[in-house]
Amino acid sequence: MAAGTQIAVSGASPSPRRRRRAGRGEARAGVLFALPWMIGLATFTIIPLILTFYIAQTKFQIVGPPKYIGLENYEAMWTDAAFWRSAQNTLFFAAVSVPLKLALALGLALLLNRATALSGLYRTVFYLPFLMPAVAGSVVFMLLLTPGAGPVNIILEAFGFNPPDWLRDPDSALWAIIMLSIWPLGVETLVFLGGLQNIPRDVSEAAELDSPEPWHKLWWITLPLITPMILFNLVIGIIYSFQIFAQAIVIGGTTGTPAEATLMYMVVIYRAAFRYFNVGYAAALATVLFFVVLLLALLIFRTARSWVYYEGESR
Amino acid sequence: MGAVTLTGVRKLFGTMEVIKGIDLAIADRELVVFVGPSGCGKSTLLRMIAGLEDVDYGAIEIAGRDVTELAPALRGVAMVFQNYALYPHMTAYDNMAYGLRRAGLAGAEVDKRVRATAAMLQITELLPRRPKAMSGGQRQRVAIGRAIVRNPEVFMFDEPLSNLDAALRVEMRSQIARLHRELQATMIFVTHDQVEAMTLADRIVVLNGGRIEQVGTPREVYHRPANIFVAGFIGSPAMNLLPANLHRGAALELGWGTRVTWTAAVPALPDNAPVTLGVRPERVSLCDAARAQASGEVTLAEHLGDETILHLKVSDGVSLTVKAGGDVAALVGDRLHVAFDLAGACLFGPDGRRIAPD
Ligand SMILES: Nc1ncnc2c1ncn2[C@@H]1O[C@H](COP(=O)(O)OP(=O)(O)OP(=O)(O)O)[C@@H](O)[C@H]1O
Ligand SMILES: [Mg+2]
Repeated sequence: MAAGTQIAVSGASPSPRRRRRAGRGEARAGVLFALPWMIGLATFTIIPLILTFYIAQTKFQIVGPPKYIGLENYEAMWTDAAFWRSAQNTLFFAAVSVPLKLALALGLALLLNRATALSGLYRTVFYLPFLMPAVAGSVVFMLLLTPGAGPVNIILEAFGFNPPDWLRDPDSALWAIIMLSIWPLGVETLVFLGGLQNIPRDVSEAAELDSPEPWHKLWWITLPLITPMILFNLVIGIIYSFQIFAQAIVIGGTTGTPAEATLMYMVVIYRAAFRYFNVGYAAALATVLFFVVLLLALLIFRTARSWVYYEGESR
Repeated sequence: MGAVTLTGVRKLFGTMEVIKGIDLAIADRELVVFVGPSGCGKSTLLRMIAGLEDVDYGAIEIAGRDVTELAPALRGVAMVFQNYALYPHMTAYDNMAYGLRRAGLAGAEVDKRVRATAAMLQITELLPRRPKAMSGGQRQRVAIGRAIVRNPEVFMFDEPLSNLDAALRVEMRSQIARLHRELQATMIFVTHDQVEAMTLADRIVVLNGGRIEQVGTPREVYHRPANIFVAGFIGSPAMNLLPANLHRGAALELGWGTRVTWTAAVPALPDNAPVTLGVRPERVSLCDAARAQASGEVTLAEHLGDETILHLKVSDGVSLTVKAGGDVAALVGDRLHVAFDLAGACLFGPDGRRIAPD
């Protein structure tokens, strides 16, 4: 701070050397300000992470000290059917729910972006589901989908359909979880809406003057200008979708009923640690998840350079 | 053929009527300038012609077609915005090519037209750059290029030069005048810069409170303002508007008692009718006390180099602006005497409309 002021006062073109010194002073202040957060990050994230990597190489059953066994836990995963099944379910879940959720949130944001008298109300209404705990939401969903008593099936039957028992049918149970996780899309919508409202009105009008097709404007002007928000929602969405847990365990229990159709990766980790008390194995599963998500995120950031537009850059 | 015709055009924002019935015919290839005080509806009217704002009542025709309900892109108009409104994620080239590509033109044709337009505006070296890497003047030139390249029938400019510095404004102004000659297109230009309006316009439309006060050539609105509003609005410094009473057609008694003879013809008015005398500051000259038609104390003296603008307080509530030579060394507080040259003066009737010269 003090160094910065000094330069402003001295006026006559500051030498590069002085500017660098000012930069260092500011950097020191910046580090100081960030220190509490960095300490928090170290104690609650980095140290547990390293511990997890270590425990993954041990046999550790909560009682008694962990015993080092090398890569045995990872070898066990190779032949664990539950691991493969849950990985497959989780991947499918992520691949379907993330794009679906983003598309729906974007559509909603586009609608909300039109100025109407009620848009403030809609914004609140769409955000509300996010405030509901996932477990409570899941229970409501179960009630809605109960055969015989749930309104969904009653209505479908009234129209002459023969609806399945959604949560007990292996073909539909995973879809029920997908729907359940998409339902609170208020945050994604708000992020998109922020991006849309950041587009200057005259830029949007220039696009209307350039082409009469609304989708031209959407594809060539609107979407490129909100790519930073798309990137953000995509990365966060992927991270969260790989960690789907509450909805899965409420609907499918620890066994992923029906027929392991809803068995999710996080449920397998939970079950290994707290059912079978095989903490070492759970840690190994968690380590694999960590690296898969990290790799995916890095991959997306890598490609982002070619499709994300940042306001600051002038290339 | 880019004639624009407005009939009975009105616009309401909620219950507030912003455009209150505009009838206007703009000829093909004409350059029309909208002027008026801030908030009078210039931008709104322009945006209605472009299709960016709905028309509540009335109709708009462009090139003989009723476009009142047509989408902006189908009206054959292009617009240059005050803040340039370039697509920030595209290079200048892509900004200019965008409309052509969406219209389905082949790549080679797009390239030909973009490069020809860029050459005309001398912005070829800007083509690979994004707006962020350009100065305001360069951005505005690219924005103009984006409008030109589509070959519209009508160009619209909403205060396109107001974000540029004085020197650049003068340069861009002459460029727009040159483009108007070369492109032979209809142009509608919104500004509140007097000089821009006077130098660019074929005709000036003076707007006030959502209504047209006068439509005319720059000479007409300057020398024969339709009413007191136009007289006071056009010209800088503004015309002196002096309260007076007209006696039997010939004698004019000014507010502070001085009588002057009025020779030009005036329509019949009751004797002693209250009128307003309009005299441009350059038609008021300093003189000695013997010939004085008004005297007053200097309240403000603006020495502009080649001329001096003096503000005199003649009597309570009446002040005079005098445009004198640059060598006048009058200071605030000095008492000066002035005489009027009524050759170019205007007389406004009790209703505010010009009654002389007719
Ligand atoms: N979207 C809108 N909603 C409500 N009122 C509006 C809207 N747009 C403009 N107005 C009002 O309409 C009137 C005319 O506005 P407009 O922008 O046309 O003025 P202008 O002549 O262009 O002024 P300026 O010289 O300041 O640009 C103003 O009183 C303004 O407050
Ligand atoms: Mg305006």
